[in-house]
Amino acid sequence: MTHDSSHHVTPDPMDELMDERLRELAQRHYNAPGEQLPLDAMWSAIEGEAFASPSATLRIVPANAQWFRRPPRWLAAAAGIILGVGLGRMLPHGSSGAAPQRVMSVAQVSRVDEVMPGQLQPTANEYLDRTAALLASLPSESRAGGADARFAGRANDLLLTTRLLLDSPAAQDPRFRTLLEDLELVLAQVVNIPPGQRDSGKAEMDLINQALEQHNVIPRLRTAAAALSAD
Amino acid sequence: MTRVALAIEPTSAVTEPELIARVVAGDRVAARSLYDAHAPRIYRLAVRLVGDDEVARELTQETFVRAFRQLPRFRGDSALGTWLHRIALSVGSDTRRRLKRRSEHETTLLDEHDVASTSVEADPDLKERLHAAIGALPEIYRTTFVMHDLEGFTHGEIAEVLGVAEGTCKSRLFAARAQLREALSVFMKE
Repeated sequence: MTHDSSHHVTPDPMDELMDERLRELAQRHYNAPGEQLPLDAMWSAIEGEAFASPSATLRIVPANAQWFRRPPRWLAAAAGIILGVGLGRMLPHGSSGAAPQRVMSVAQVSRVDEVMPGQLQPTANEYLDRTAALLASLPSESRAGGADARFAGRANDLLLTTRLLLDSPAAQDPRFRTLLEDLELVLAQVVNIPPGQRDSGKAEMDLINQALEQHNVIPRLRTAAAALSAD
Repeated sequence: MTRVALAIEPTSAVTEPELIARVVAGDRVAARSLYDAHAPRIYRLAVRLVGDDEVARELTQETFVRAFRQLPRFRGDSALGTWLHRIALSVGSDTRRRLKRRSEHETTLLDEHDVASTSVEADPDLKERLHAAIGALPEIYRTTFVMHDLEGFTHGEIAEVLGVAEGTCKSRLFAARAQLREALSVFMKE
């Protein structure tokens, strides 16, 4: 904090002492902001208004991609059925023994609204682990000059799963929903990195890495995964 | 289930002009980055000036909503932070006027904020008088005093935000401090 001299007139030492005392008191007692700043809550409101308004110049990235749109309810219901199957296929072969438990049958999931959050927990947990692994590998991908097609493919799979989870009862938990929305945005950015453009791709990934750090995405992912595991 | 060991390594910083260009192109992640860089200081200043967390929150939100909408017209003649603070002070001024019109009670809330929640280190009466004395300062003096003495802005920063010369800023601070000394001298000597 800088306090430069306030006037060209030589100040009275007693005045200076009193100014100092008043400044200390005022810093502590005059409309002092709390320790915790409501940054996330304010951002939600800003994002909702600045991005939703027709007059706003901002748009969701990537706005021109048809597949980026949130799936309609009927598709979400169908997707709920295949969610477990899809995630089961995404599992490494070494964990195939546990995969059948993650697959939900059509009989179990006739409508997505009827899926109990508990049934989605294993798939959500697996999803969080895989997303964390992908995002943790971003720095090395960035150093290598950008994402390759395989990396983008993994991100695309996870992006699809993110949207499915957003339209499932698992997103009823506000904190989990916020995390999913953040991940949707980040994964969409990863998917949208132009392949074969090493320089621009690297800049994109640096920006994504920066956002990940600023939003504490990885710690939040780990916390969410741990909370699901504990249930 | 095996947990993945996670570590995010520091990455090269994206410059502010790059972020601005990305926000103008519609990048929400970049918008959040700009927000994270500037919102804490703006929110803190808003709380100091309006004295109410909820109003400060609305003020900060309105500042960034306006800023994002106007960002395509931002020419970079001043630093982005300066530009944002100008918007914040403009929004704050509007907010205060609106609230004053609405009711005298709300004006009291803004100018003479509750002191009951503050620490016990200072005499409650002195704190109350301090509040009243700062609240009674002319708006230009109070803003200068709050920005410089409470939130650590330099005279150069304040002058740029308020669009005045640094000398003007120093004179205002001098006058603000003199008024406070006069208003509180009896209490400070006790």
